[in-house]
Amino acid sequence: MKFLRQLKPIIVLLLFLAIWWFLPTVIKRVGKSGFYEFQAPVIAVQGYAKDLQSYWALRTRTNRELIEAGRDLARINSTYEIARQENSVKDEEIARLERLLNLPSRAEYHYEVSRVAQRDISAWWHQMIIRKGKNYNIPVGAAVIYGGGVVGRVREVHSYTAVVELVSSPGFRMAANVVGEAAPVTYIGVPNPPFSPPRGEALNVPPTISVSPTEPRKLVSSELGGIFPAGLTIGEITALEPGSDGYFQKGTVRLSLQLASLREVAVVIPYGQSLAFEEDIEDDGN
Amino acid sequence: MEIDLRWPVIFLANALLIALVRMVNDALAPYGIYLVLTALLLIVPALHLPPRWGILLSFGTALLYGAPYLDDITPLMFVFGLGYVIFRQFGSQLRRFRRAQLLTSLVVANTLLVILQGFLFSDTNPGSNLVYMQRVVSDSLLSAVVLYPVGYWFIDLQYTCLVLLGVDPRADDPPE
Repeated sequence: MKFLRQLKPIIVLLLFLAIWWFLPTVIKRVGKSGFYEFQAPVIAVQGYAKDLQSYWALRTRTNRELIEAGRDLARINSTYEIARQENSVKDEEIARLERLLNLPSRAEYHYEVSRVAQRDISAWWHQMIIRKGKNYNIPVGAAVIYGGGVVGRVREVHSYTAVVELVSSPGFRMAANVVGEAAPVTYIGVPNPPFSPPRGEALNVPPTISVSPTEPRKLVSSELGGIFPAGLTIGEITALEPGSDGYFQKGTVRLSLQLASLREVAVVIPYGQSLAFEEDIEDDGN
Repeated sequence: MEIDLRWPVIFLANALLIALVRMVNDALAPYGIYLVLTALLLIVPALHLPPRWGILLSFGTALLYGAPYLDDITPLMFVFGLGYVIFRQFGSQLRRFRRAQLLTSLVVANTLLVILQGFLFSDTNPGSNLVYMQRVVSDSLLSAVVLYPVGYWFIDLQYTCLVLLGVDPRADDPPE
């Protein structure tokens, strides 16, 4: 009896776990969602606290520094304005050629810019939480990018926040291209060693491609996956070794250091997808 | 009917610690460091709550902790539940410990729980197992270092909150 009494906490634990195991998935999902939404305001507040910190850090700058920063921004804006005009002319030309040659039109996107509320990069999960969710029609699976390239993919969407799986996340997979090469390769996220920046792996790299640490090759997104626009930087392949099949190579991909300190990202929403999302919302409303 | 205020206070304190640790982890992300303080979330429920509330509180904390990360929280609930059971089993000894001894016990338990969590989640990680375990072990060791000062503050915070609410946190002798 004494032995059984000693085992009682373990038996109770196993009993509770068994009850949880047999609970219907709907209840588990509702429970998880409820616990997430319970703490979502705290997560959002963390993001606002960082913004406030940046604001007060900027307040310590002198007027002269701020004027110089404003002048530099005005110059960059002028450059972007010219680039925007050039792009619109090119877009018209592309549309004209598509009509002329009867080509299918390319996917078009719009961008929803969002602040990063919180980020977790560990052995188990690489993700960030952004401060826009269902309230901004963010769809699950949408690509997330920043000025330097690919950030990841939206994994979950909640009322006012969304969880983004980072490109460095173990198990993350996407189609890619080595710049200047037509053959597609596969990019996957892998576990990162301690005290080091995020990294990934490129699979199915053709044997004709060679790299060295001093001359890395840039890896960019491919349209083949159907989520990311083509040509966005993923990282740089710094080393290649023979793959398990003996023909293709696999390589280490060095990701941007900025990935672990981003403050703002853009969710890429294909026009068709956002329309479907809006229709879903309307259907739910009816 | 008497309302037991201990478990909501401890749950909210746990929520506060989870939020603060996440904020620190956010800042440490560029350096490849991630802190996990699971044992600290379980010690007071295990020592000072009735078993029926204690185990439920441990599972509730696991749900709160794992909700942003996982679709299936069962492995995390197992880790939290096991931690709770370990502390419960050694409760009578732990209550007699001085604070430094208690924190040392927490450090050992926390390291074991992090490594157990590492084994449970190893299936979800493709690539090198060696790199994965290196990361898990380094994070658990750094968490152990941080656990001493944070644990000292957090256990005091929980007791103070309970005393301010007029609840006797210690049914029997507390850790000094």
